[in-house]
Amino acid sequence: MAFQESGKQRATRIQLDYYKKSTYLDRTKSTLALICLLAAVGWMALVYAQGEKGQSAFSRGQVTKFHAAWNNNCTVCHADFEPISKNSFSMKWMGHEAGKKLSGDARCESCHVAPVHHANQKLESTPSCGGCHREHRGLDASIVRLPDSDCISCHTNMPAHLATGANAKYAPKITSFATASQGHPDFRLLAEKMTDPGTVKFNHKLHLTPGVSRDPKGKPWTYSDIPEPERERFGYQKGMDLKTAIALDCKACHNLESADAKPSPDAFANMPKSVHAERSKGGVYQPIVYDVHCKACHPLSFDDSNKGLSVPHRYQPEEIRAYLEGYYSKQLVLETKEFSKPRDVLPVPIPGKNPLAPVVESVKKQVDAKVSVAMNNLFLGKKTCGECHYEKGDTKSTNPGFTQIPKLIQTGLDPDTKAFQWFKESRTGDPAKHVWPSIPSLWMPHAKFDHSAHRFMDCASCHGAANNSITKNDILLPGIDNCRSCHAPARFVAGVAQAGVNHDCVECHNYHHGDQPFQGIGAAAWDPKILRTIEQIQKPIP
Amino acid sequence: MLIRKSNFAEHYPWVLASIVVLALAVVWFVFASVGHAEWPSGSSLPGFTFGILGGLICLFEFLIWPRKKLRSWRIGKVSTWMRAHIWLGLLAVPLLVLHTGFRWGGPLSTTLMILFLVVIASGVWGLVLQQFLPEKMLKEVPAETIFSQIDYVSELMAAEASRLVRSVCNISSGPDDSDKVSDDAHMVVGAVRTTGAIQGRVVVTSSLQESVPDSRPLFDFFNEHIYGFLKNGQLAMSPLQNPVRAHSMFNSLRTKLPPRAHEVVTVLEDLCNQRRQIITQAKIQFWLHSWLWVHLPLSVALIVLMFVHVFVAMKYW
Repeated sequence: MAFQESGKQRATRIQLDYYKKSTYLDRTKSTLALICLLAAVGWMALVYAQGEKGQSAFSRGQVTKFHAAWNNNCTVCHADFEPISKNSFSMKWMGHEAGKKLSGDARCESCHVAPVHHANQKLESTPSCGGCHREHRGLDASIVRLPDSDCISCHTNMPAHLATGANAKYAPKITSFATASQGHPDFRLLAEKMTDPGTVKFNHKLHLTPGVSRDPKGKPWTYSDIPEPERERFGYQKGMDLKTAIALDCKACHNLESADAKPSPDAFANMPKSVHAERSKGGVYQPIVYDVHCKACHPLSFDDSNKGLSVPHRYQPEEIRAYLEGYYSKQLVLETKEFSKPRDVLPVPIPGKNPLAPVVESVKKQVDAKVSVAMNNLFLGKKTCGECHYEKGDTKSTNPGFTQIPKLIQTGLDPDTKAFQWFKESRTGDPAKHVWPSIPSLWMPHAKFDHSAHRFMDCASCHGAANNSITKNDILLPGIDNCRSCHAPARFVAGVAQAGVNHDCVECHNYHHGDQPFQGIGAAAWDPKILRTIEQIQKPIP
Repeated sequence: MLIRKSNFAEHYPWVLASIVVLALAVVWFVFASVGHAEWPSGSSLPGFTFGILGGLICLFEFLIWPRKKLRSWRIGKVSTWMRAHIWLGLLAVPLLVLHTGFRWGGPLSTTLMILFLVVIASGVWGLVLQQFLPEKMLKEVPAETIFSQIDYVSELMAAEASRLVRSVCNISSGPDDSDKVSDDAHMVVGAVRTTGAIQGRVVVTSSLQESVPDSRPLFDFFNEHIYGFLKNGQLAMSPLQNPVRAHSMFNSLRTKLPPRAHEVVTVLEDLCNQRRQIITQAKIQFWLHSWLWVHLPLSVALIVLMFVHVFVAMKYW
């Protein structure tokens, strides 16, 4: 049945132009490719047609909520074909000099004036705003919680990033805070064994002893020894025996700035709550104030016959003298009969002679005598000025007498100490004039510490040395290793988890204006130079 | 493209090169991230480099389309291009993921990454299918024909079978088979033959038989079941799609016909068998090529958006 098929017959089995024929698979593929091409091009055309509104399509992510107004307006922050970060490797490649300020920075600074980090840093080592404050990481991302690498990039080799002639004298190489071996130094006050630059004597140990008595068998200091209005502040409760010994704790004197105010019940009676000032969160402690913290036990009594009399605190010697003269003069004038007689019964004066002169002279002498005794009580008495303000036998005191105050008190700081120099460097102004009596409110001018964040801790866990401190010279800061007990990488000691709390640089340091910890974001130094309208802030600065 | 032990030597240089590049990229990336809180972004030096590399690979990958269209061009074997397409495409995945710094980014970059991943996934799916579907077709479809010729071959089979049946049943030729088959004493029916491990469709001819009396049932059966099935395949909804059912039906037909007509029934049964194979071939071909419906169109969109991404990234660096 089989036969020899001809070539022509065989050819008819497959069409000669079969390779030109497309299948539905090919046609569908081509159609879909065309659709995708049109979709991609169409999307971009739509974005282009939308102008600024469409630019969000190109964003690499939402900016933080603080900058969300410019989510759709790239040019508010970005300059075309210019890196936002000076650290970018593309700086030179895109024709920009490393040491030059980027125009993008000016756009940031039109709203945010950011003081320089350090006067001696090289310009080429100074990052641009966008180099550290990285945006486009979501609405709730933080652009100020910077990674350590931003700081370490310079601090790991400080000499290379300082201007010519400047020395990295303190911490030339820091690679991390995590361990002591990584270069982060101890607090400078401790590392350089400084003493408290304050001039007020204070014995922490004595004050923390129940009864505030040096002699355990001696008479304790009780609530009956302090004025009634002050008792509650120091722990007195209704019903307590007034003979109860006073036991002070840290909070008796150290109050956070957010400490509960205790105005008299009537103080705000007729005042709407809306006008009450909001308390700050309480990051730092209020300064010790004599009238609040000391006066109850240490009144500046000057008259032995009336212990309730006291001179105001903070008066300088001449002012105290004037105050006392005034007080005693008034008292003697009121007590002297000659002065209290009516005018019409006074003897007829002899010309050239004041009939009251002997009396005045007598009063003057009495006043001087009383003032001398009072000044003596105040300045040389154990319970008054000398109790806190200068040491017995202080060599710096030229003449610890009535009219002469130890030089130490007048200046507030001993200019010969390291601490004086340090505070002078770290603060504006002359400490001799401005710091008095020089108990620092902030002990770490280049770092921040939030006491309210640590309020759950026992004070002694960090400041335990206070229990045994008997001199004002002690700086009762804990060593930085104490911080590392918690602020360090998590570790296990004998199977127990320890540390693990944040220990990055920005936990304690600010980059901008770190040398002015008293100046918050609302300080004048942070104010922008140009103020703009609502319409203007939607657009890039000219 | 088949990847087997037997031909892995051809793939080996590409695999090795991809692994080496990947290892270097990862080391560089990790090294660059040491001391940083975040992975290097696309604008960092390593991220940018990986972006450039990944972009060039994407561009090269896309060029395989015109390369296939221009087979006669002397720019390397298509098989070499395909090997590069596979392995460089797979290398591009980690490179571009490193380029992103493990972040999706905004709408454009997210779209790009999704497109890229879908393109890669569809390509991998296509590659996997190509590992066993051709073999399956070789085994199950010895009557395979050129995919684009399935309709033509089916019509040819229907026409030739019609001519054979009309000849046996002594019925004048219909209009359908006049232009497709020659007016000859023989006709080509085709058949599947096996020799050892080799099997395939061969051209077999059959001489037109003289008419067989009492063969009208054959003509009726042909018109009712066979012709439509041979011509339209699945669309005919014929019971002949089922081989067991078909065998039963053909056996039943034989009982109704004189023995002289049985040979024709056998030829028709064989044609139906071939048609079933062609249906199977069409299904396999669908799976072999339909992944390109995703792979290619999305690649086109990917390339367009990639250029936009490059421009925008440079503008808002």
